[in-house]
Amino acid sequence: MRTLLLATALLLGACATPAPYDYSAFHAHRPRSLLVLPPLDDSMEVQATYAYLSTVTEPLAERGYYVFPVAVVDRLLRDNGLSGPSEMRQAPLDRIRDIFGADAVLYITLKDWGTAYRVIDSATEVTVEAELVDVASGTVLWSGEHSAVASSSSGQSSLFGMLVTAVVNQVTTSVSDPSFDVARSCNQELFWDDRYGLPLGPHNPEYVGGP
Amino acid sequence: MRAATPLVLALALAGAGCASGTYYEWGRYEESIYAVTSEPDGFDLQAEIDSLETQLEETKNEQRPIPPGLHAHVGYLHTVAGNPVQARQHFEQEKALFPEGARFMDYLIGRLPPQT
Repeated sequence: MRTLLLATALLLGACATPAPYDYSAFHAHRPRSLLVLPPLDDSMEVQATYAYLSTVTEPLAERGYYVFPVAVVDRLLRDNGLSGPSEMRQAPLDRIRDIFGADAVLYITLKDWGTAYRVIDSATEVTVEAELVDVASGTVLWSGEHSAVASSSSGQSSLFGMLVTAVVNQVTTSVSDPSFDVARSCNQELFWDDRYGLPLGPHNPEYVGGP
Repeated sequence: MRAATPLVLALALAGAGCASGTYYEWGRYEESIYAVTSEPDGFDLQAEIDSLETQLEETKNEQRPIPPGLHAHVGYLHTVAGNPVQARQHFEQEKALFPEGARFMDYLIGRLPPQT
């Protein structure tokens, strides 16, 4: 009997919706301005750091935050002797507060980035890990991870259609790298998710404060 | 190459459709971020300044919101181009639109050569 009860409890546990995200640290600090540092790149793709950096301002600013000018921040830190993303990640928070006056820093790691070309199609994958840290206290205010994948063959059924798609996509990728679009949808799902994303910031027209 | 054109056009149109739904007028800002950071010595500095200033002008004429960071970005490009007067104007405009950036704008203004 006891075993049966336990098994039932485990089953129910598996069916239950996951626990809601704990926003108490976030609401205790309510950052208005975000400093996004160039992401660490675990993907070994040379382009990844700056390609990703050029996709992150819009979703965060539209969410309602002041986003420091990411290219200016990168150039300035380089001029100050921090030669790359891993050196920048080591920058002490009190220096960041002195120079930028930022409320919070967003540390990003790219775990996957790029397109795998196969015989009849290709798949582009972007995986982003993000951690938002309060500059004054060092407290983690929010963190999340998300993966987005786009396959060039999605929606195609006939072999002829697949072959045509593969050819067309080979051509279009030379015009524009699909990783940018996949990164944008990854950001959208990571930062804008109703249950796990970033709460609305003060510049969003729908911002009403918080609990 | 010919076969790809309609798809490229369709993607471009889809992108344009998305952009119109945003609160801020983004234009080329993020494209410029990529140019400036990925090829610091390889992009056309004056062309970037001209195109972003045209965009800012249009956004003001249409009374649409200017995104955070854009004036600071253009001010930085002017700094690199050796135009401290224009650089300062853009940093001041960033500060006026977004007080959150004031400390950083003051820092950037402080690094400009003294006004003559």
